[in-house]
Amino acid sequence: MTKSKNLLFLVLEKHLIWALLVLLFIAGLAVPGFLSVRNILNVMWAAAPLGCMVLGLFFVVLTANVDLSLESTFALAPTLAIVACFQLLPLQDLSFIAVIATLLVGAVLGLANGLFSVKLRVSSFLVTLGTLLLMRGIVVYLIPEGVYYLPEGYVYLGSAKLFGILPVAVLVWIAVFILGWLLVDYHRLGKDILALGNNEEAAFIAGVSIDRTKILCFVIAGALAALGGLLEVGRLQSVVADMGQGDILMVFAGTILGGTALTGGKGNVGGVFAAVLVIAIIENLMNLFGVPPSIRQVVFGAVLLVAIYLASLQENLRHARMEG
Amino acid sequence: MTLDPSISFAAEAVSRRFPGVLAVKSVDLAVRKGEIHGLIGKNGAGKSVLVSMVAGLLPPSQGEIVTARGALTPHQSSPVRAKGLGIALVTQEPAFAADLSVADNLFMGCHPTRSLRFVAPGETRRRANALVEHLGLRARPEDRMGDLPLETQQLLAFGRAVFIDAATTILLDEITASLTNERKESLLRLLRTLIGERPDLSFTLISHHVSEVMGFTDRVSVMRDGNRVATLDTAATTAAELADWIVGDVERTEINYTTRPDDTAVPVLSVRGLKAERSLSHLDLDLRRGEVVGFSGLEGSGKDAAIEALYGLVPNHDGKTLMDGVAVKLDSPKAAQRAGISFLPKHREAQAVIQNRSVLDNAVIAGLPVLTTRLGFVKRRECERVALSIVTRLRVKTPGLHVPIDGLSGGNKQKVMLGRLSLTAPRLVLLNEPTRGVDISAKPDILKMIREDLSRAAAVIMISESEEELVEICDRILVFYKGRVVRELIRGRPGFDVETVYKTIQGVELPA
Repeated sequence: MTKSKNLLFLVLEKHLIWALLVLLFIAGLAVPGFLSVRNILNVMWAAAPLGCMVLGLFFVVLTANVDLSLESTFALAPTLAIVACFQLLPLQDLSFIAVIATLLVGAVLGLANGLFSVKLRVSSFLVTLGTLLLMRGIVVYLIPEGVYYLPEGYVYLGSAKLFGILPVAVLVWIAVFILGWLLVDYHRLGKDILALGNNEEAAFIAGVSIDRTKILCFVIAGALAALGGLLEVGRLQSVVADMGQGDILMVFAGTILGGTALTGGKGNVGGVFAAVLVIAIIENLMNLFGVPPSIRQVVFGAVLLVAIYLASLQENLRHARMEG
Repeated sequence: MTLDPSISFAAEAVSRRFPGVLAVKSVDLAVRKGEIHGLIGKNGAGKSVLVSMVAGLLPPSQGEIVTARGALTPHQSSPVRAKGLGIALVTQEPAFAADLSVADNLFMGCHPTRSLRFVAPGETRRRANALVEHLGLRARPEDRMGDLPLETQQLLAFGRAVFIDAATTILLDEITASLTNERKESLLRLLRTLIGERPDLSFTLISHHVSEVMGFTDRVSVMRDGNRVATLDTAATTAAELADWIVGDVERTEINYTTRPDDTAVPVLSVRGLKAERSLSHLDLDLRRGEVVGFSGLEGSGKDAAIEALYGLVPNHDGKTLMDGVAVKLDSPKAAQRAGISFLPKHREAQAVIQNRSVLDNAVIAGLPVLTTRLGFVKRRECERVALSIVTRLRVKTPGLHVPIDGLSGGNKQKVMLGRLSLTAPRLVLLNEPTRGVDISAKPDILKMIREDLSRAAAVIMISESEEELVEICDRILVFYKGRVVRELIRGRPGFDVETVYKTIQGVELPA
């Protein structure tokens, strides 16, 4: 009896978000059209760009910082790469250069955020609030009308499907999560990040390079946001000036829902992965249910609130187990 | 610079200055390899500051710390550098990340890695397990550090220093304070065993407790007022002799008594059988108006628990409390205030001062209930008058009432905190270390104010780490040891002196 109870606690405590995911999935079974390979893959396809941003924010939040500007990086990185490679330079046939340029631009934008906030000791909230507006402004200035004709090579990662059914974007998304998981759980970088996020002084005394590790997290976040932008541009086969605008709230929702503590030092990649799926499935179910667009946000907000409350129970469960 | 090869580390003319204070004054200290060296002194004697400099946490203002592998100088000093010199500090509260596993904490900053800096979990586990076993602890490498008892955490921190950092100069800062006696003995025995195995090790044991230092060290150095006043061979020293070195010669300035306890009236406060959590097992106390009573004792002796229980900060306390002969239930700060009790917390900056607000706002906050109109609007004029009277009466050095309090010195902030206590005309005032973090120049003003102002209309209970202060202004001193009052010292009777207080708080048996 106590053994099975302990097991239940353990599942809920460590993997509550997965339990939530299963619950949603079961609810979905009752909805016609939910359970088909095509629909599930489409859900994941739509979730991939968000997923990349969430993973990026996850790294930054682990260091007890935030990066609000990720949604702008999401748009600015592809925009700069497209303008530079296709409008200023004739590189249409070498679009892999533009793909690499996108990721590099994202990393550099992240580096700028990181240097500004870590080296100059300005709160990352304020720095990235500024760059959020600044970077969006540049996008609107550069491509007020959007860009609708993009070389096939550039949109490949976001739009192509293997065997006519499996979107490459989903594979990319899963690949970066596996990489992220390895980095956090099995790499010195992850150990350093968790240590400094949890107790910066202890980490400093133990010899962890605090500033460099924090800045590196901003760089990773920038590159991942750029990758997300690349996937989104491919999926939509175009880039528009307001791409990703307002998404940062959803990115935060995913990060927190995944069990990441805003105070830093606590979180796991698996949880964040599941959280992105939870968000995507909620959205999908609303589509299938035909929830009218006018109240969709109300429903979404309410569901999210419940989900975040449930996820917050995790800490209480842990205490309950420690005491009982 | 050449260093005698038998020396583990040497402090050479090391000084450390803080704004307004010279905390460590040109100290020379050499600890030998293979020795357990005690470092003892009262709070504020400078021993923790000295140790922080040796561990690279604070750069010295002058002088340097020399080891065989290099030195820490005013310009070159960091925890990482100290670690490189083989120095490790184990503190009372270990610097661990509570949410991480035992293994991740042990190997923080030095995880064994394979190619591409991927970590080697197998090796980490194995070495963590070996360490836990060596220390005889009950913990697994994957346990969350924050879930383990403090005692275990502390021993793990010790293990990290010895086995993982492989340090040769190990500083133990009061780590025995939270250990059970049994653990303490076994840890101190372990130190001997380790030295037997690795003769180049040295341990520096920082402690308040004369008995520990006597039992387990080879030599002991005494710090007083930022100076090293003596280094003694432990075997050739007695506990009483050591205590004399620690206390030193006492000077005192006479305080002008204007109030005398009124012995005939009903006690302001009567306490019978007060019991609070684990740290206070029993307290009886009668307190009269005009009386200043000092609580003295070591950390965890029950003095803090007693004062906190009286202010309702310990919700689950037992015992009877009467204010002016009427039974009261002190289960929350609000209830305590209603009963006429004012409280000065120990941590001024964190618990009392409202940062970024003006001197005026800070001065009147406790009095707002009487300084507002019936609709809750603040009477500005009245507030200014009250604040001004505090500032002038207590000689607070401030450029004005409307400047942020942050710019004031510790002593002047504390004067404001003390001044506001009397706004609500309390019957009982509880002071937890009123002179903590106060510059020397402000201390006499504060003591005078407690003796001559606060005690005029109320009874005062005061905790202080400084026995001199208690002897200077108290009518009675209650000495706490292990959760009880073991001795009551009364002004004018034999034993009302610094030496007796100091020895009694250590648990040294003295003839009454």
